[in-house]
Amino acid sequence: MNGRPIAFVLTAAGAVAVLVFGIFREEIGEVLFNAAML
Amino acid sequence: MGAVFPNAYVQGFLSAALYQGSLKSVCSPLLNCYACPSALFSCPIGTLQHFMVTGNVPYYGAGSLAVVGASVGRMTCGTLCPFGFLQDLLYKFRAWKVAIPVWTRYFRYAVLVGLVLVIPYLTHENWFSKLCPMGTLIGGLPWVTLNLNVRSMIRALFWGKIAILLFFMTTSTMVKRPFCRAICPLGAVFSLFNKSSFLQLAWNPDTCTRCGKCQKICPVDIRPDRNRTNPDCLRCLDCTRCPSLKLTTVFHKEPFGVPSSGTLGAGEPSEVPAR
Repeated sequence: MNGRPIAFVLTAAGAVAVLVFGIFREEIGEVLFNAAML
Repeated sequence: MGAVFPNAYVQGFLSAALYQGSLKSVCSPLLNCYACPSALFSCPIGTLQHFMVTGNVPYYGAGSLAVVGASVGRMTCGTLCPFGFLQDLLYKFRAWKVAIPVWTRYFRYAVLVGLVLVIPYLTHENWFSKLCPMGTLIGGLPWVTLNLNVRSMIRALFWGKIAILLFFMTTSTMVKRPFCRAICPLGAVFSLFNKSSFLQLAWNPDTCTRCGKCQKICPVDIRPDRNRTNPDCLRCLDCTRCPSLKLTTVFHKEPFGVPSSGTLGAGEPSEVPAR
């Protein structure tokens, strides 16, 4: 139980880092393009 | 609400055209087909597959899902997912009820790795989207109804998709949420976060009588008093009708107050004897 807050902080930090890296790589435009091509 | 809000672009049905505004850049944390005429958001699984098909790592799609998973675990499956809601409704039908073995949960990880990541990367085809029953229900069927050109393109694959949809709709009348438990790759992603998400389920061993009613009302047939962070748990909070279970946060050490002496600390499930 005691390690769970630490696990959460590490997981959340990793998740935000991956998301921000994706935004930095301008993947949002690729997602919009994919949705438009359906 | 989960079925209505992500599909609020009603104009799509009237004009037979997809919404292509800026909201489509957002991956909804639900299994909601973005080919549905009224869909406002992108399907996260379709987005992951698209990047695999083009040979790229889906950082944005994976990051979006990871942020939601780290916040609430599988809660969107239990509270917002329209296909989960449909399965819950179908289970209310009076039919022969059966339980599926626990090991079937591992299929969803195989579907995630195989049909969503590896096979699309190797074949350059969105194989999960081609077979997804939710896509057939709110994407394929409306388009076949609305558009004559789409109707003329019907091939054997479409009838295969209909068969898959009918299979899951039929089994949903007998088994609690069969698609969510055994197949859903989105649930597989979120279930990885159940142990470390911000929102957690708390169990009070002082008041729990181990009556098992929580399992009876659980949409995926689990015992939250035995494992509060079960990867199958949808965080639908149905079990919190029992005063021994409640929603808490990962930072809350004593959600039920300080435990009385001689009992377990705030619910360590491994120490609970099986009945």
